[in-house]
Amino acid sequence: MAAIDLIARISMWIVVGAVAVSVASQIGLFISAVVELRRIRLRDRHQLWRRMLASPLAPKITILVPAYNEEVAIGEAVGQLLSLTYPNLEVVVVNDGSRDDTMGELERTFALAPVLPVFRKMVDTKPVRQLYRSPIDERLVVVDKDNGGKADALNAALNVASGDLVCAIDADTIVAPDALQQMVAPFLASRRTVAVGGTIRLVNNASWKMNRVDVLHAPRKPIVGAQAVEYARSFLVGRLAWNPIGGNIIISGAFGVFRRSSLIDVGGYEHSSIGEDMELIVRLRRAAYEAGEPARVEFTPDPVAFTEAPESIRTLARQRNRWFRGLLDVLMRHRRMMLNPRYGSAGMLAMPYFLIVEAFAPIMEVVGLVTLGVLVAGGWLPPSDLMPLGIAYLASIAASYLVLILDDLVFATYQSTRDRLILSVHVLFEQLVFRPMTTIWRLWGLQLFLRGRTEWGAQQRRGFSTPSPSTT
Amino acid sequence: MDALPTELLIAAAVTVGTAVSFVAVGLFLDFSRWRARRRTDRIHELLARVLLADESKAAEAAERLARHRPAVVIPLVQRLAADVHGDAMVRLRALVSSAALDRHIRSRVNSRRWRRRAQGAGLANLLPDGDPARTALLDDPHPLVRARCAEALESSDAGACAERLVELLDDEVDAGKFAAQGALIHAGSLAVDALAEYLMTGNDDGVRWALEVAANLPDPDLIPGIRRHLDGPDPERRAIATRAVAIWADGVDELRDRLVDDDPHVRAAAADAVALAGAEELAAHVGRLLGDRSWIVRERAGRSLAAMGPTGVMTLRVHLDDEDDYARDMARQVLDTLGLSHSPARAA
Repeated sequence: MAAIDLIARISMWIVVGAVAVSVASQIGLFISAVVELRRIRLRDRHQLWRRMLASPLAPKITILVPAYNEEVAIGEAVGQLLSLTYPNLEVVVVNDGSRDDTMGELERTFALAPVLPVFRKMVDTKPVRQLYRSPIDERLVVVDKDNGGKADALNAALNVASGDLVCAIDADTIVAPDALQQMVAPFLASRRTVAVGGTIRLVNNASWKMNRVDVLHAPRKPIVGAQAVEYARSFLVGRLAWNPIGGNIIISGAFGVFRRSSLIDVGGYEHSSIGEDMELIVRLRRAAYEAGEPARVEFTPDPVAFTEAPESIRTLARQRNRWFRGLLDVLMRHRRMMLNPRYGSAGMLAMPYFLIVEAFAPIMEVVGLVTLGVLVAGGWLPPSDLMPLGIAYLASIAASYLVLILDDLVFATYQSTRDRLILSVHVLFEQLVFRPMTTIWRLWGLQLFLRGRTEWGAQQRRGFSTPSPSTT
Repeated sequence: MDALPTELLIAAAVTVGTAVSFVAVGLFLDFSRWRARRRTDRIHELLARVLLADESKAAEAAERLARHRPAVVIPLVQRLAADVHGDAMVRLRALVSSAALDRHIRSRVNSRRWRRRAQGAGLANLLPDGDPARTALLDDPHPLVRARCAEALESSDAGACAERLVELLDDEVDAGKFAAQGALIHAGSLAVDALAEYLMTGNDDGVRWALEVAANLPDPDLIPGIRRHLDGPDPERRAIATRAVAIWADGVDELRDRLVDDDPHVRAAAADAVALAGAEELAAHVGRLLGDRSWIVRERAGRSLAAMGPTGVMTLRVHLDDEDDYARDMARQVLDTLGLSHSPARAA
């Protein structure tokens, strides 16, 4: 009995410890995020950089769009990119050997004409079949190439790009009209800035006007609602808070702007990494530290892009286990940075944080929960002894509500009481159902990672202009 | 059933409290945003009347503005200032002065905190004409404050500070350079003397930025300075100077030389410039670039010929039978785009 009691106590404190580490780090990051938001608001109040960023002399940005089996949404997505208000723009779409009619859709929509595929190959990629230009819009370049994965497609786009800055997005990302102006500002403010990310919102239940996102509504489906809560927390707190600490090591693959020269200097995206977006940022930072000129990776809190969240459990599970494998892969590849003062805040704070809070804690949590479940079910542990666990979960729920309050104060993302009530319920779902689910998917990812599996898996697209039944 | 432990009840109460707060704060925010919108609409309406020369409303508007917190009014006035000019701007400045908002703007301009000074820099154009505070922040120790100040300058102020703006073209951050470029272009002919002198004597990194300004300011006084950089060792400067050449009529010889430059970007710029200058006598030279090894040069040559009209089209047709694959391909594509050639790809 004494042994079981000891196991019960250890399991309990493992779970409570895991949740407590998560909550404590969230609260710490929350405070840092509030301070950073105040700093940014104070700096940018009344300042619009309107004239400067409306000038044709503004730095040229090339948007890199990797597309694989995106025939449903590609035409509309590229059209929206070309209608952005940024004055000095180029769009490079890479058809990464799609099996569907992505290329045909692009050819029809933009009347593409083939040109001889001659460009300077600065980063190695799979063979390029053909290069196309559009007589309708000279800013559009389309690269048709053999399939090589997202990183390879982005590298091919990088070879063709001519902008000083490049913006990597997913083919299904909807970019806000003035997003590029906001993302360029940190590059103008410091030469050390090599990458800038921004907040991404979910559009699964949005109102559209003139082909643009008009009003965001709280998603009705719990599985999407939970992701909306998670996105708000991870962007507003998880990323913004690292700005003042200088520890940003993630820019979302769905939308990020980079200095092209820095990207080429480090050899572009890593083909063999499954978390190529995070890996790139860590490599950029690592190279800069090793060159003795620490780079800045900034996060701008304003919502700059919108994307569609997976609505099926199966797709979501694949996405999450891929993300987790990507995290483990990056931590493993760059383990030399861990707790190494040479790599500044990235090595001393960010890497250990991701190892403990993002990688270890969820695994410890699920192991502890399973053990506790067995002990309670077997009658070895009275349910009343689970009180610390309850308190830890309640604190975690309260922390999520705090983030939503901050989001409402600053961005007014959801503007009706009905939406807020729905989100309140989603918070509970996220903590009590979604979070354990993601932990299981992470365990699945862990075992795939240990077996050396690095493939992506497909995601079904609906296309943005196809309203879901709940779309207003 | 045992009573729940106090600690758990407290945690539950805190959680429910934050959930309720989320909805309650949201309701409060909805109300305050609605109120702010209503207030803003009223102030806007009043300001619009005053700016549209309804002087009778000026006193009432000033009184209304003074009643609200500066943090509310100043952004409204600033947004309006970005869209008004001339007499309306003069009336807006008078209004700012009579509502005592200038005091708040000055306190920002003179603040010890750079972020507040950055705000002040964006607001300083609301101060009266000739007020030294309008341009004082061009010499601020913080680069972003200097950049904000340059960006917000009126054209008359930019002309008066042209020399300082030219110095900013070699500022430590790009924001300052871009802002200075914008302000110099905005100043137009008022900035030409300072710019011309810098192009003749300058040799630092700012020259590249100054050449870009010159390429957007068609003024003959800039020609000697631009010409100085046409044969320089830096290809980037040569390319920008080549584009700038297109703004004057007698630059044909210079353009011809640059069409055979060693650097592809200079050749591409020269092809652009030929079209811009309408130098049809160089059509054959541009036609030769259709077979250039660099795609960007071929593409620019094709576009340049397309923009030239009949002479350019004739040159393109000649190159449909070119021995060089690249030249044939580019000529076909450009003519396809113009709808002037039959090709299997288009027919399909």
